[in-house]
Amino acid sequence: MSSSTDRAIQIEGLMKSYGSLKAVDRISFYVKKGQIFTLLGPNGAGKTTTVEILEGLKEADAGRIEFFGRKVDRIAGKEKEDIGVLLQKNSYIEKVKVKEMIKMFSSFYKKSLPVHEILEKVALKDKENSYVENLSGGQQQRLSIGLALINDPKILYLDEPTTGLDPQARRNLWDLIEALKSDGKTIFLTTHYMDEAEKLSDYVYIMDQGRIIADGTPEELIDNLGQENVIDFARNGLEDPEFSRLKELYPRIKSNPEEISVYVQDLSTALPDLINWAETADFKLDNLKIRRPNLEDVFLELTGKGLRD
Amino acid sequence: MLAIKNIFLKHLRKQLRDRYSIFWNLAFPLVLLTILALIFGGQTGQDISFDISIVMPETSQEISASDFAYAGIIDEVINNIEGSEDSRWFQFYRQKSDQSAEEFFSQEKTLLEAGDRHLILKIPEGSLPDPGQIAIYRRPGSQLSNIAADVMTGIISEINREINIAEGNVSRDQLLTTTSRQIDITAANGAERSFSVTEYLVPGIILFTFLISGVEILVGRISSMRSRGILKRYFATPLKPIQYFAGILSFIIVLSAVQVLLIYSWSSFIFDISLNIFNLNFILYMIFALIVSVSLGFMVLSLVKSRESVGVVTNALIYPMAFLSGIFFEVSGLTGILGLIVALNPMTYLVNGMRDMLGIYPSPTSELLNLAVPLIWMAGSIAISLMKFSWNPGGES
Repeated sequence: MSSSTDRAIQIEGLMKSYGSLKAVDRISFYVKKGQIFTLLGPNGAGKTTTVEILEGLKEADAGRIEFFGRKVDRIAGKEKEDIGVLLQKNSYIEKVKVKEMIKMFSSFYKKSLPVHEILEKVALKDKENSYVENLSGGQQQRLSIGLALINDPKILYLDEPTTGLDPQARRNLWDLIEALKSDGKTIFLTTHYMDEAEKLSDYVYIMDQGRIIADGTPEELIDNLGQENVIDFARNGLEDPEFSRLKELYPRIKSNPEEISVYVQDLSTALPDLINWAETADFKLDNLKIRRPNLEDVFLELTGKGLRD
Repeated sequence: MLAIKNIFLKHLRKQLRDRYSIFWNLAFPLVLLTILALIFGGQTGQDISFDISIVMPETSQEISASDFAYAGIIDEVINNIEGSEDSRWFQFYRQKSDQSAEEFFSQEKTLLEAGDRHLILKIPEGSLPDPGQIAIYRRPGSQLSNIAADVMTGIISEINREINIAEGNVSRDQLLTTTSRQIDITAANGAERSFSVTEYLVPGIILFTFLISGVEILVGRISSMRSRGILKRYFATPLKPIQYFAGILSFIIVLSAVQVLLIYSWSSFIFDISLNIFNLNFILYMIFALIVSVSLGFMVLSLVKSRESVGVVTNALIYPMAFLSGIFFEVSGLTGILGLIVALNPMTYLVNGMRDMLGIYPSPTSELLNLAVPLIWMAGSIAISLMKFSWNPGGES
């Protein structure tokens, strides 16, 4: 249980519609100071709309927002002085150098960190005189985070920060996000990468069709599934009646045209049973993997669809 | 204020660091001016003919050259020119026998004011030892009038040399002297119709660059930044839209001022024309023209959301507006749908107003219309922009 003084953000009954579409449907949650808070959901779940309301880019149709203990009608200039933002899509005007871009953004705030400090934080000191369009994808994303840190914000909104990056660049960015948390920043993360959410998050809200459908720490959410293990294997065109027989053996089963996932408690009994079934059904168990359940499985369980559907 | 300055600098840097932008926004108007002046000017040297009026003193018409009245000498020189192969350069006009000198001078002065004469030579009645002074009336701002004055001054110097040869060394005060006089153009009536193609083109090219800056550059930059989410990122900071607007508008104003100075310098240096563009009224009218262009740009941004469509609409707006306004050539004779476009086009009135203010070409439309029509467009564009414009790509404000 947290008191209102340790909350960075608290929203109640937040709502936003576009015509008949309810993008955000009366959601409520809070974010504790100094934590990494993740809003998880598939494309179109309402994550970006929620974040953009909290960044002051959109106005909610209804709901209450409390920003570091202060009730506000909407996030405006005063609150923006304490907010750092990394948008989902970041692009920059051409023919402007890294240092110039940081200087320009600095001038938008009343207080800002020195340019060299920002460059050092995001490891772009040697690129200060490079044109922004000549930076790699990972460097551009680091610059975007640098721009989000210019005002030494109390809270950082990172909307899909690693989308489109290669694995190495993703890991580098995760390290940077964790370092920011160590510096005491509150981080509001939205992502559809479950591994990212699991690795970085202190607390997760899962959103679908504009509503919050579950919340907890990643471990709590996974434990709530009540399953210890998942066995994945290729579907190989499996249809009834063999598929029905498999479902009788394993009540908790998820499938798509390519893959079948079986959720089990005890591997020592479940695995021999599966092999026996395969022999009886004359089915070849290809690409068989045994793993721990993850947030994707949580989401699948809650909504019946994958995070990237 | 610092934010506005940095936004201005960012746009300026982009402009100066991009060779493509430098060519199209700074060099191209000069190239266009030169090409059009050469195409429409026909200034190949062979087509120039000076229309010169000679106003003789009434008593001189019977005086022969041998009497040594200067009027007689000049009359003879002109007769010689008319009979020589140089006659194709000159068309001389003299008073009729039943016409008084003052009556003829008054008539020719009107024609000079209207641009139908390049020069008037008013010959004094003097003879040795008191020659008097020849008054040369020319039309300021007209390149050909200035050239004609130079040519006639040269001819008079030649006459002086002949007098020296014929009479021995005559004293300086016995030689012909000239005085240069300008016609007061502002006193000219509405029939004035002098024509220098380059002078005619300069205000048009200036207005064209305003149209490009206000519509194409402004719209292009904002729509690109809007659709790519760059503006959204800016407005996630405490930066206010009005600050961003002030920054980019400052850039457009500075760019336009540089364009005007370049066009002015180029036309002075290459075409040797001097237009008084630095008078307050003209500067205010140029600012007005730029504001009209910027407001048209915002109207486009308000009505067309997608970046790709904005480019198409911008071109579909700029080029008919430029070509059907008289920016580059006369369009007053157009009828039907084209004539209607000319009549509704704010650029028609702006370019008429600019030429009229510079004394290049009398506006075929009234001063009131030259202000009112662009003002209506500006007000309409601003009203539409206030209702529809959005800094966000999806149009949500």
